[in-house]
Amino acid sequence: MKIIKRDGHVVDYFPEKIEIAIGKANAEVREEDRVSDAQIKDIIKYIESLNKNRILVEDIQDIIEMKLMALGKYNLAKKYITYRYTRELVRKSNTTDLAIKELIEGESEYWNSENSNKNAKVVTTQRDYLAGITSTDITRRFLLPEDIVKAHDEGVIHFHDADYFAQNALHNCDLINLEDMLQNGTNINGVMIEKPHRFLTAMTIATQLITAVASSQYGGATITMTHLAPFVRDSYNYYLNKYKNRGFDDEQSKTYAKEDLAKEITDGVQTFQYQINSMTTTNGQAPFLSVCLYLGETDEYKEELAMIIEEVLKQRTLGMKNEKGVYITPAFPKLLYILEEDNVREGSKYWYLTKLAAQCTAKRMVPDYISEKVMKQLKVDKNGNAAAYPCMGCRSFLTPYADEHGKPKYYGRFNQGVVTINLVDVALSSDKDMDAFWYIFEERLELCHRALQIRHKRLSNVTSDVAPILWQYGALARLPKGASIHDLLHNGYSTISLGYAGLYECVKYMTGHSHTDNGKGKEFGLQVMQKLNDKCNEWKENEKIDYSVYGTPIESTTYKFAKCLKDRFGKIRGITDRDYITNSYHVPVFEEIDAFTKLKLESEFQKLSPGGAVSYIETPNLTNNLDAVIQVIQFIYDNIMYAELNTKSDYCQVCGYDGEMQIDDNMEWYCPNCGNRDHDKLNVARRTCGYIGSNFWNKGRTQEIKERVLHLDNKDIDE
Amino acid sequence: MRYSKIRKMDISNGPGVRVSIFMQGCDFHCPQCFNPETHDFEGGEAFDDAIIDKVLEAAKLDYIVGLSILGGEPMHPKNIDGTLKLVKAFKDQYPQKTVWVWTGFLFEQLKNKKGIENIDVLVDGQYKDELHDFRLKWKGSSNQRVIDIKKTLENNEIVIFE
Repeated sequence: MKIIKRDGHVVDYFPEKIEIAIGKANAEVREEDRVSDAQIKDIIKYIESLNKNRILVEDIQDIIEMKLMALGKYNLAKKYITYRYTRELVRKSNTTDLAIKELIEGESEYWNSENSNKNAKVVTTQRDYLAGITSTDITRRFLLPEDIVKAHDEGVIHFHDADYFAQNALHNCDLINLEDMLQNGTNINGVMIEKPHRFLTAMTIATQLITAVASSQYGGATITMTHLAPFVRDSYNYYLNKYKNRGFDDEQSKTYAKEDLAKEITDGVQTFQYQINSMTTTNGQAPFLSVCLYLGETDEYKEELAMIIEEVLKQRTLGMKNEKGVYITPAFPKLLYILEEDNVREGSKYWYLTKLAAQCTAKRMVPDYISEKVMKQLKVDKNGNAAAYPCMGCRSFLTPYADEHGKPKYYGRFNQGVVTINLVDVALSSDKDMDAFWYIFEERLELCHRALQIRHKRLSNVTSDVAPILWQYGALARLPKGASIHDLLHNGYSTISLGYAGLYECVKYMTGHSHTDNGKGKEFGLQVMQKLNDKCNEWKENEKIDYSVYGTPIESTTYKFAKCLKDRFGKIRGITDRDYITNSYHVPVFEEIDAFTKLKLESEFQKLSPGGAVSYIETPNLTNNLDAVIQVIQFIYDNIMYAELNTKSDYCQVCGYDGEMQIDDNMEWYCPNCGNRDHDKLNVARRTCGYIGSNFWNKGRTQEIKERVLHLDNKDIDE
Repeated sequence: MRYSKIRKMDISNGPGVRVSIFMQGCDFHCPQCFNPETHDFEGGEAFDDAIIDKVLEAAKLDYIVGLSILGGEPMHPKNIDGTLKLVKAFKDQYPQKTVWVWTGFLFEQLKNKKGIENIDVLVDGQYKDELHDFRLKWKGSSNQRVIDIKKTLENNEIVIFE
């Protein structure tokens, strides 16, 4: 038996400690109130007879209290409770030392792979993690009730981003309203930023705004290139006038202006790409940025936007140089390409852009694809307006919303935060009894609900002063100084996410089937998803807060959940015998299924994950078969709202091999060409949480990557 | 006539997601052939109408955009009739889907054969290892030609695909 301490650490069980604790209380009461040594031994025997692999220290203490009372030793029980309380105060004084020590000594697997976009060896990341440890500690001891902390520690739920929770107060992710900031001017650190007059300046300012905004939140942010398009015209007019003023005729002036403009677009896009990847936010990382490429967002500046999109895709296909000067796959920004009628079919006006996008995806894994057609079927606001819009960061989608004038509004809105339910734990706790399942499910959802309310409440006490760039200078709002952000948290302006994980394992355990079976597995899976939505709707109705069902990325949490499940329920074949659980509604990575069937099937589940989710397919190198990439893209347009292709492009710095790096049986990465195993000399890019990670992953996630089957590949007929 | 294997999904031979069949038996024995186990005319399995049906069945999925026939040598005198029968049956059933065939013979040697017109693209010529370049599209060595058969027959001269 192991003991889980209050700070989550696991230690060996020593019965002597119980003897000592009761002994100390014994010594302080009168003879007749004491328990005998034999009675103490009985209590210990009882605890051991529970046969638990792990037990929380609080649970042991509860048992002792109950046993003492059952023996009629009320005075002793009282002493014991006092003793326990005093001890707790001592304990409460500090739980951070060990975590800090592990972090700065750099030996811990946990810290080195906590987030594959962060390098824990770098001092700026360490500063962020130090702040995170303190925040987590404060959150656990003062901000969350005990039962939520306990459920989080046991992996029953996951209270995300506790490392940013203590601060007063950060939100998760958003769609930055760059248009407002650029057109109306803004303010960074007390410096007024006026409306730029040309594209290059606008791109430079945009990167600064993004960094400032990303420093005031912890999740991902998305901007759209549509907001930059008007400045392309400003630049063109500037050049045109310059040449006209020099006495060139109209035709000549236009020709020269176009040449200058092309150069400026190239420079602007390059500046943007380098700034985003080289700047560090106060979170100790490059901004987690997504860039939306959506022609349908503008009629007025469509041509200018098409020029920007073309350049963004071309430069991204080329890649960025690493320290050795070799072009590799950059992690950021993530690109979101919106498929629409005038770019999706051969012969359509912007087909050339989609072909460039396909080439870019084959080489650099981005862009990801959003189907305007499917999205408009799913996202209709109260006035009946259908809308397509990008996700915030990697996969979180806003709910449809119209402002007080009935105008659809998406940019400037945000998400308040996430709490995730571990569906696998619900299933295993129910022991395959359906009634028990739904009962426990309900109970756990209420736990998540309370945790979400705490999140919401913490934000609702905040005034616009905590992050002026967000709330006062246009990124999310234009509130006066000192104003409460309360209204922005209600009536649909922002969302709050009920995350879920492990639908596959949950369904498999309960029904014996995968949810891909087109039978009772699928039916049960859809039922679980529907119930999540019903709950969110019920809460939304009562509280006027937009609760929304969210397929959480659970990047490193997948490993934590898997470990907790093993501890609580032992190793169950096909359910808890891996070091990861399956994300959201995904078909498990090891299940044989082709790309098209997978996307089609998952689209039914994605519909029931309105707060966000992304489907993906895993492919080999497809740079020699862009027709296949385009086939998938067109299939996405017709069938699923949001999906991505995980292609491969790695690089070994020792031998220069740029094929796919492999994982051995010990979950170690190596170059199949020269055998190099030095992480510092291997560039491996894989999509793990919706973003591309390149700093390697924890053991659970690495196993998951190793077990991924290819959904588009050469497959023999009798396989 | 015999065949080596059928792939229900092939993304390496021809554009898009395809079904492919590898015929059995080849006399060319090009050095560094990518598929030497298909040289023996006695290897593999018997090719008959049931196999044609199997290929047609595998190709009925919407996302399958065509059939690729490789080998072995599908145009060897022992194989060519079966190959062209499969091509004909395929085009009859799926006129919108394309058929690509890889052969070590030259188009000029095959052009009078009845049924050749049902092929959309023929990649012809023996593989020459010294002319190998992994950047080449749809072929192994630079001497080989990716021929658009329809246009070639219309124009009466070799037209390279795309």
